[in-house]
Amino acid sequence: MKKTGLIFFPAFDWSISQTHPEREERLLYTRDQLLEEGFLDLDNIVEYKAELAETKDILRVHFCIPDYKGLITNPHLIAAGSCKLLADEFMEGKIKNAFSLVRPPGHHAMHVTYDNRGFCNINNEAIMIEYMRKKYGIRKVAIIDSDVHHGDGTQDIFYNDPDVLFISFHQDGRTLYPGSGFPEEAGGVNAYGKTINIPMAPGTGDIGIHRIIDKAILPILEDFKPELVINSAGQDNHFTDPLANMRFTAKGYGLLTEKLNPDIVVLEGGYAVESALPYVNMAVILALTGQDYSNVIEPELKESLIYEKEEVLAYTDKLIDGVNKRWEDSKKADKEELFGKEKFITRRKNIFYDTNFLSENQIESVRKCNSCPGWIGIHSYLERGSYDGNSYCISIPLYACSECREEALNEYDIKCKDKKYDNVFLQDKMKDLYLVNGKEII
Amino acid sequence: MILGIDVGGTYSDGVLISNNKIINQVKVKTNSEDLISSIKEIKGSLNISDKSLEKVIVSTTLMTNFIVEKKYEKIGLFLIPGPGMVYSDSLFPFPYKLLKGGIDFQGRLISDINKDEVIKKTEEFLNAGIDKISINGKFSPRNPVLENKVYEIIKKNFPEIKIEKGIDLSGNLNFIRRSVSSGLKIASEEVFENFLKALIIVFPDTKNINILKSDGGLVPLELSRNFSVETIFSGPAASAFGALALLKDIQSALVIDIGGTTSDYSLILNKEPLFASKGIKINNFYTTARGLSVFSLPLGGDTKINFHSEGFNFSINKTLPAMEGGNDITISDCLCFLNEINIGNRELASKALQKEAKTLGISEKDLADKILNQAGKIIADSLSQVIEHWEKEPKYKVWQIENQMKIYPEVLFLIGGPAKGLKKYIQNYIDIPVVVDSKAMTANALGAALAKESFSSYIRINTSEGTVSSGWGYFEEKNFSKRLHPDEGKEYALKITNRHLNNLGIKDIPQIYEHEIFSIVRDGYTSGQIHEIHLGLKPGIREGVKL
Repeated sequence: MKKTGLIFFPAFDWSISQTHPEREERLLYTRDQLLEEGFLDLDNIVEYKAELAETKDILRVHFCIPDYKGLITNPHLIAAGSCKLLADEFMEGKIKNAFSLVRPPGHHAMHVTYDNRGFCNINNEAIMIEYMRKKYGIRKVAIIDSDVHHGDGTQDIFYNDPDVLFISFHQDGRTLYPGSGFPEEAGGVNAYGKTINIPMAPGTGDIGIHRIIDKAILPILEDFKPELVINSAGQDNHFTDPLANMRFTAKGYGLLTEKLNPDIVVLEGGYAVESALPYVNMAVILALTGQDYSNVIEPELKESLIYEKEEVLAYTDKLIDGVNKRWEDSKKADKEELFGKEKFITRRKNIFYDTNFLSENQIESVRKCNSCPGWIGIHSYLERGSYDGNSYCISIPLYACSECREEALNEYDIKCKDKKYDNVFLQDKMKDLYLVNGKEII
Repeated sequence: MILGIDVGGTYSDGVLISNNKIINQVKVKTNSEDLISSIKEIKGSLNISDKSLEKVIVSTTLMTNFIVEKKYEKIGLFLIPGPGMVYSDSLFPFPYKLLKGGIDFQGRLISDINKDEVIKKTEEFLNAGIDKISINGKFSPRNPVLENKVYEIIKKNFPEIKIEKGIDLSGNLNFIRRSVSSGLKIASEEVFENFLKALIIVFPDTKNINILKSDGGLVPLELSRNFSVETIFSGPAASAFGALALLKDIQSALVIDIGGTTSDYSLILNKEPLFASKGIKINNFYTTARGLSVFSLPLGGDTKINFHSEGFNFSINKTLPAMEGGNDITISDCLCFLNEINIGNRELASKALQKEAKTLGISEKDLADKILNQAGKIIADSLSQVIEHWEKEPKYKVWQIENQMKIYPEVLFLIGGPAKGLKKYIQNYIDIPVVVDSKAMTANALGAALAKESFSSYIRINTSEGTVSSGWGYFEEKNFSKRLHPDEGKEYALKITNRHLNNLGIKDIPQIYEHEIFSIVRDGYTSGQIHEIHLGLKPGIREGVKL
């Protein structure tokens, strides 16, 4: 029988700052629990050594402005590299599924990235997925983001890709960072309906979340038929998380893992380092290996802490109906009516980097295309921050059609000559070529 | 004089050292039914007078055989698992019962034990004919209060029962391993005790009798009862330390101990053997015993060679070599026929080879050569895989991933009976020099003879909870300042460790290998620290012996 692959990388010598949630202590008790339970001795788990990703793996996903060198440090490369290694082992059929139990997290890192956002510099899942698609020719991927915070970075990266189904269920953005993730954010012109946001009411727990999984997520997954299922596994829906207000339990996480049956699980947030993480991680690993997690019970568990109000459940039911309706509607949606008749669909975005209070302005133009995800052009500059250059970023998707690719390359030449821009980036995923101002970045 | 003995699976070796010189060495066949007789034979053939012997160090397969052959007595385990995994029977070699109660990773009480349940379940054990019980609680190293309570209840209500606490054997995290080890200890007490008694009879005038542990360190006989489980797999440690001595100025080497049944690979890096990050696994059971990182290839002198129409291949089973009157051809037979070893009956080996060579239409010499060449290739081919395995041991810190461990052994060092004969056949396939020392035949006994005391442990100080725990099971509640100065943490760790080492008769001062400090942040404020201090006595060999 095939085993579950595990990379446990607690980065015991790295933190954002001494008392920051992303600090050395975060996975210390998870390690204690793993060791004490004897998890790593089990015949159904194979533990791998963490590994560094290559710069190219990051450039395949991100436009790092002004330069990748200041943004990407080794801890980030290790987290992304570990996901990659597990992906290889999975694709080569050596393991039945995998858990990348690593830090730092990544799901708030967007297509363009200047700095740390929501504790993330680079997007581990997106880097892994694009690596897998490039290397193994995978097309259809489903990402289920179960972090309590909206996976806005992952959403941004795959917003226009019809082959990537991104589902995020999270605490309603009106009550929690990053403040986005509403049902109306449903995907760009070429991928309408493939982004699904389920903003849950504070106080939702095992009953509500499992209703969402059973009645919305599982049927949609069934319908979409992905080649690969990835779980961005935040552990902060837990009833003890200090940064959020949800009521999910470790056993609830175990059952979630069992139901979603993800190929690869990637750890995201979760900052109740003593009361939640050791137990949630244990439940996830047990579920992945197909073992009994019914005895994973948090010492602090009390009925009063996980009780879900009637109105919360009623609200959940409404959300589920909305999700299902939108999914069906999206299949026959009139895109001209939704997005207009223009060849390029333009979005203006203001992106806030909470760690160092940077504020970015973006104008993103997506080429409307019926045969591929369309090429993307992004004009980006910092409204507030340490860098005052203007950048233009052109992205050619891995499965771009020849027309879009041609157009994008022409546009790149034009923009390179435009004095308005200090940096003109090209991300040619088809050729695996990454340029700035006409020169290869690495 | 110092006598080192290694009782191996197939052969037993002895090395005698006097005035810092090896004055004699011997190799005999092991009598696996009666290990003491093999020790007597070694002593006899070395012609040692009892009076002249100051020190004896014995490495023995006693416990390994005992566990592999499942000869253990009927005992029971009490497990206090608390929340977490649901354990399967296959993890424990003994009947077990679960008790209520739980401790968490910080040593905080989650739930208490139930006295009535303890009494009821102890009676159940008694009714099943079990009167030896080992008590093991999850996270007991962080707080042994529940193990202690159960112990007291049984002691008071059932004085006739022999009880043991897991925490008295090991304080390292791994509930399953502690439970298995403490169970094995109590289940082997009689066998181990009988062995010690017999040993004292063989060496009546020797005050200094020691047993070798799996980490290559020695433990005096009178203290060895507590370390019985740690004497498993002392053989591979003995050979690695023997090789270390023979390597002299060479810093890094891959060592292969080619025995009767297997070839065991170990690694010496910068003059230190590489230890395994986890305890030793034996017969599918996980123990707390610390051992070298050893890989075994099922290929040795007594490996049976299967012949078929296209040629031959190596079986994973061993057999009695033709040169010793067996019916099959082995690697040893080939070596014997080619005069590469001087044991066995060459005529018998020749006869057996002749028959197969005829069928294949080649000479006996060519057949023996072909077989050994193939064995050499298999060993050489396995090297890169073994090295990669060592390089890919999981690591948990950024700097360790940044500084990837790359292993470049200077030499391949062969020890064991067939080593000398196989040397050139392995060298055909690899670039680094293959080295065999004239004393390689008995390197394991040499490793035993040169062994010193060893020690390695973690000390954990939690200033938030006010607790100290250790790898040997010591636990203490003590108030520290919340932000403990690193020097004070070190000082305290050394203080309790020195006390412990003194009890073991060890005078050396441990060295601190690593000191990590984690801030415990609760509600945004630092509520205390966890100091994790790894210290020990570097494993090594007695200096000054001329080789």
